Order: sequence, then C-alpha cells, then structure tokens
Amino acid sequence: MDIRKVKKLIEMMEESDISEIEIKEGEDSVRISRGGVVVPLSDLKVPEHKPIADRLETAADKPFIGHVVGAPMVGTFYRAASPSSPSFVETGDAVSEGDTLCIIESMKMMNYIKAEQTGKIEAILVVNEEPVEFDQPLFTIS
Amino acid sequence: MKRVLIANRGEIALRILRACRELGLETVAAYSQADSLALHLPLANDTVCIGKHSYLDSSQIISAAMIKNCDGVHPGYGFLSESSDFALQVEEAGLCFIGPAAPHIELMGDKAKARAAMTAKGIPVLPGSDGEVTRLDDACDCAERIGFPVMVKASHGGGGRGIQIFDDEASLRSAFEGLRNEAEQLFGNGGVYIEKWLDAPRHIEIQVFGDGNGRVIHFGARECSIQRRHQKLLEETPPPGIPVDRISGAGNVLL
Repeated sequence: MDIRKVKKLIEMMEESDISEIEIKEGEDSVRISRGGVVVPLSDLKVPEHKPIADRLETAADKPFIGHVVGAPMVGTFYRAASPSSPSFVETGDAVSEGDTLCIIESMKMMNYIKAEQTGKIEAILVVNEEPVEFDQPLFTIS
Repeated sequence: MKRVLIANRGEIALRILRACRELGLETVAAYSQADSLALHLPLANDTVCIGKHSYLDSSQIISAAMIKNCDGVHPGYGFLSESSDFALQVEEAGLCFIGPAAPHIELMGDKAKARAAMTAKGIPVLPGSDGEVTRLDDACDCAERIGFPVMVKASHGGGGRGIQIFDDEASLRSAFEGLRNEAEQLFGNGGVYIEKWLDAPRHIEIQVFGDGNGRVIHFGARECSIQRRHQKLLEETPPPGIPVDRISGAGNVLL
C-alpha cells in the first residue's frame, strides 16, 4: 500500500472524530486506530505445518497408489545391505510378507525393514542414504 | 553450537525456540505424531517426527538430532531432562546435552548421595542419617539421635512419593521394610535415608546455575510451600516475608 495514502488517512483521522478506520484495496488492507499501531494484516500469517506424508503427496503429481509403507523409526535409509550389494527391491518387484525392503540405520544399528503384506512395489519414495523421520513414506505396495 | 534439537513439547518447546532465535541458533523441533499440529512447529527451522506418542525414546531423539545435523539437544523439563543415562548417550553420540553433566544429574538424583556431597562441602543440611539406611536398627538409632518425628525418604524418590513420617519408634519399626519394598517398586531402587521432620516449615528453593566454565550464579529464591501430598502446586517469587539479605546470604553460601 502506498505510504502516501496511509499518511493521508492518518491526517484525515486526526482532523476528525473517527477512532478507527480500515481500508481494503485488493489484497492489501490497513487498519488505523487512534492511539494504536498500524499493522498490515497480510503480515500476520503463520505458515501451516503439514505432516511429512501430506507434504510429499502434495509435491508428487498424483496421489499414492496402494498401501504406504512408513518408516518405523528415525534414521538413514539404505536400499541395500552394503554399497556393493544389489538393492533389496526395485520398482515393479513382487514382494511377500516378511521380505526385506530396506535398512534404516539408527545410532549405528542396522534395522532390517520387512514388508507387512504381499504385493508389488509401486514406487520407492526415498533415495539411498536419505535421512528419514518416523512414518515418512518409503514405498507404496499395491 | 549452530543447531539445536528441541526434544520436548508445549510451552517449554516454544520457550526454547524463542531463546534459540534470540541467540541466533537454528532450531529443529522434534514432535510425536500426536503433536503433529503443535503450534510451535512451523516456527522452527525444521521439524522431525520421532514416533507415535513418546518424548521418552532416547534413541529416536538422538537419531533425529543426528539426521538433522544438530549439534545440541535441549531436553526441556520433565521427560528425559533429569536422566543421566540420556545425557550420557547424547554426549557419547558426539552431541552437546544442554543441561547439567551426566555425573551431576546422577549425584543430585540420588538424594542420599546429594546430602552427603553437600555436607562434604560444608553446606548445612537437615539433621538426618549419614547416607542410606539399610538396617532397621540403624534406622531407629538415627531417629532417636535426631529426635522424632522423622521422615523416611526414598533416595531415588520424586514427585512427592516415597516419603513417610513417623512419630515414634514403634511405627517406624513396623513400616520400615515395607517402605524399602515400595521404593524398589516405584523407583527401581530400595535405598532410603532419614531426615528430621519439620512441622509447617517454609519450603524455599534457590536455583543455582553454572556454565561449566567456572562461572556460577543463583537466581534468587522461590516459595515452594504451597503443596498437596508433598507435591508443589504453585511456586511464587520472591518468597513473601523473607528479607532479601537472608536470600542473598544463603545464595552466596551455595555459590
């Protein structure tokens, strides 16, 4: 909002009996109170915190297909048992309940994460060595 | 220190966040799933979900601090803030535990040891037993020496529990073993000690703070006498009716 307009409003207020005035101009708005402070209302927004699953789903173009496997712990995600080993699973692989999907390393302990249901790997949502938080979507299984 | 993991919730998480902001430190707010809509979360530089319910899972908290590249962990109050095990694990992981050193937490968490440590430094404590009392006869001798009524307290007690008052030797004799068992069940440690019972005292606390580099201050006194079942309900500062010089005198003794 043009500062000259705001100054004009203040002058108008001082010359009259008006105690409070609010003007909206498109997206901008300003409220002036006698004895109070001018606060642009648009500056008062606090960003919303979204759980990581929502953030990821919004970032992807389409909603998740199938059952989402969330990380059961905080740590670093590994797709294979060692840098030279093949990945446990690839997109499109069939998996049975109990098959190892990945490793999450937490405080130097390697935790083998197993599939809880039989199906097909639709998508792998994290990359090798990515840090993951609790319940962060790792795979979708259809 | 550049980045701090806030391992708590509610008003203390927000207070820690504010303090970090004032000091120019980055913040990572840890939260449980139940707290995913907590209002302080969007104010932190980053957030990390540590589990379904609990801020008591030390390995998840430390893991979270590591994956988010924090160098310090602030435990807030309650939860793991008085756990010497947690403080030690944080330090062993190469992070800074923002709080007392693990050995100090352990020393002061054992009330019998804490009494002994203060006595060794010449700080007056309530008349009582010299450390823990294991044998009934020793308990009775001590009680007779300091005079009834006496309190028997669990060394690892807290939250107002593990305390019983005795007016005479007969009641002490019949309850002593039971108290030790109760302490074992409640706190995992059956150690007890004895202190003189004061009738209607003022319970005043002076908070002492050191920076680990030899600088120590005290924060004045708080009135903690308003209690229910030995638990403080409301604290007030300054304590009404106590002259300022008595407080600074006591504070200086502690420093």
